[in-house]
Amino acid sequence: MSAATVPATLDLSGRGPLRATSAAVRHAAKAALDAGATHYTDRPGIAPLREAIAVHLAGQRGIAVRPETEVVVTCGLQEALFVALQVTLAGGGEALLPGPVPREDVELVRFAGGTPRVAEPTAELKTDPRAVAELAGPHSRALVLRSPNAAGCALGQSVLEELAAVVTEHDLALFAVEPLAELHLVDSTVPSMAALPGLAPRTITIGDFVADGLAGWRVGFLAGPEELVGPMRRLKQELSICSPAVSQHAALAAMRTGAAGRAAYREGLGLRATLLADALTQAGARGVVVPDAGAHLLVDGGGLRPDDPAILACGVRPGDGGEVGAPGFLRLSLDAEPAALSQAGALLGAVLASTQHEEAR
Amino acid sequence: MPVDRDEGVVITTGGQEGLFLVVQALLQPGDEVLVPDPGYPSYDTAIRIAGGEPVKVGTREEEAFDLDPAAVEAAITPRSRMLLLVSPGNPTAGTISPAHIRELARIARRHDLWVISDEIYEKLLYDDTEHLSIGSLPGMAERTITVNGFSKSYCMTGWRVGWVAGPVAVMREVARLKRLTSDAAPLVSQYAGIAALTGPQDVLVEYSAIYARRRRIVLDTLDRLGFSYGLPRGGFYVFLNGSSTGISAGELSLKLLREARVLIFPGTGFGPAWGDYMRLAWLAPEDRIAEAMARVEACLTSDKAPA
Repeated sequence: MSAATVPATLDLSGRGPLRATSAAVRHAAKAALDAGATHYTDRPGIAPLREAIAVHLAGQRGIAVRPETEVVVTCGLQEALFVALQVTLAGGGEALLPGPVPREDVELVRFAGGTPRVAEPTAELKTDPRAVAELAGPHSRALVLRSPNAAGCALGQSVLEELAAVVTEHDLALFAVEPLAELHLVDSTVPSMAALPGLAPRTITIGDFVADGLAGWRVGFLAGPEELVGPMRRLKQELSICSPAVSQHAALAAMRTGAAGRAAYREGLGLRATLLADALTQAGARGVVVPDAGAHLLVDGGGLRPDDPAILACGVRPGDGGEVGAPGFLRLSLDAEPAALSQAGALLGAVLASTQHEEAR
Repeated sequence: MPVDRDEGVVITTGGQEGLFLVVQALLQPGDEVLVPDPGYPSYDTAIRIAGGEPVKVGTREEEAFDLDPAAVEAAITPRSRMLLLVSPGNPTAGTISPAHIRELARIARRHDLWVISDEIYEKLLYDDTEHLSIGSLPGMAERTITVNGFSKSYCMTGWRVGWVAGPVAVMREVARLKRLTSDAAPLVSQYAGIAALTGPQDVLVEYSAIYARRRRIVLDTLDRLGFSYGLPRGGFYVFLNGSSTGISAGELSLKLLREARVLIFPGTGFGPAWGDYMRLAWLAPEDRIAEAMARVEACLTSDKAPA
């Protein structure tokens, strides 16, 4: 492809998922505003949304929680994770973070008063329970588990069970961070940690609605046993009083009407992941990590950073895999048109092939 | 108030979160924060989470709960790091006079204190009360963080959007911590905030008139019943002294709930020293305020009626 035919930069650096909010959800949100949903809500969240979350967790993930006392609607997943960690780690202690881990999770553990212990993933960016077990010790207080992991790799049943053993052996609090649970591209039957035998009493499940295109609405949830959730609910109230009323109504509408949309989005991501992976591979790139879930694909950067002149010159703008605990990898958003992804894969793949070949020599 | 356009403001998920983040950004374990008493409980929580210690500076009903600079300076120790100003205040609805604001600025400079100025009620003022932002005074922009929002002035409590403004170095740390605690503020709420600030402002005049009428109903009733209170100069509360009833505010609150079906918070929710006080808010529509006060009056008057 000649320089004359290279289009304007193909920006695949989005942190995403970047799915747009559906018309149905937007209309429901507007209707809620027109009906007066502009005031503080019940502090843990509007009852219908908490009920919908509880029903969803029970039906889809095998997690039983009472909506009245065991579900809190938060200002996004990040607030849920912050209050959970702050309550648990304020007195110190170590938090085990199975890699790959977003940089922000490490920062957040420190901010909450804990000491982060990051377990290295495998070379293929899969979660390694043995690495986690090696880090666990007398100062360990919590395990913060992203499932799928930050690279989009699913944690299979055996990995979850090994991690469950670490949790119970060391009497850890478990934070099951599952924002991509709705975006499994291959197998949507991966269990939630809280559903594994014996883990429910010590597990807080954390999620959000980004799969429904609500990333900018800032609404998420945490759910778990009342004795754990209670202090988190109180801290959340001290921090932000309640979650945005309009966003809660949007989330409720998404839960009630969004199944078909989520399925279509998921299918689209799967197709685009395959498309991009094939384009990269055919161009000669190695180290392509095809995601099991989520809206990103990672590829070995061959020593190149996202802002490297060689990358910029090819017309593709990738994200930094280091942000999700995969340093040295480039992170590519799948929220782009298929044609753009094919083109990006070919352009970037050629650059990486050359660089990776040089590295191998 | 000079603020860097690009990095001097952080949009937060409500003003309360903003104050929390500023405290976390500036305090070190062991630092003391001078806090008006009575005060909103969440301030203490934020300070303690940061490892700091709230040092209460009492305010007085007789002074309409204005903050006395001499009392502030008397409470300063070598560990004092920050002064928290809330004007108009919650629960007292007291305001800090411009003269006191200027003196507090001098104190802050003299003792090298940070100042957090919570001005969430700044637009709700009565009786020609003047609001002066301490961050606008000479030498104060570099040590003042102003916290504000849309909830109270524009009736946007459910949108959860506010802001903090201050020196760039502080705002960068606030922005970093904001990313960790809840990431960006809701996008739809941010656009609603733009509409509130840049659209017609006559709603502020309308709301002020509404709150003034309700305030009048409440204060007239309290006067007839012989309650004393700090004159509320801003916000939508009155912090009334219930000691004339001979029972504690907690007991009075329960009595009014049971017998008059009117809920008024006892003052102990805002500090242990305020057991005689109650915070009454006029957030309900005028007719409900009038009915509530009529019930309160009937309840308390019947106690005094001859058998």
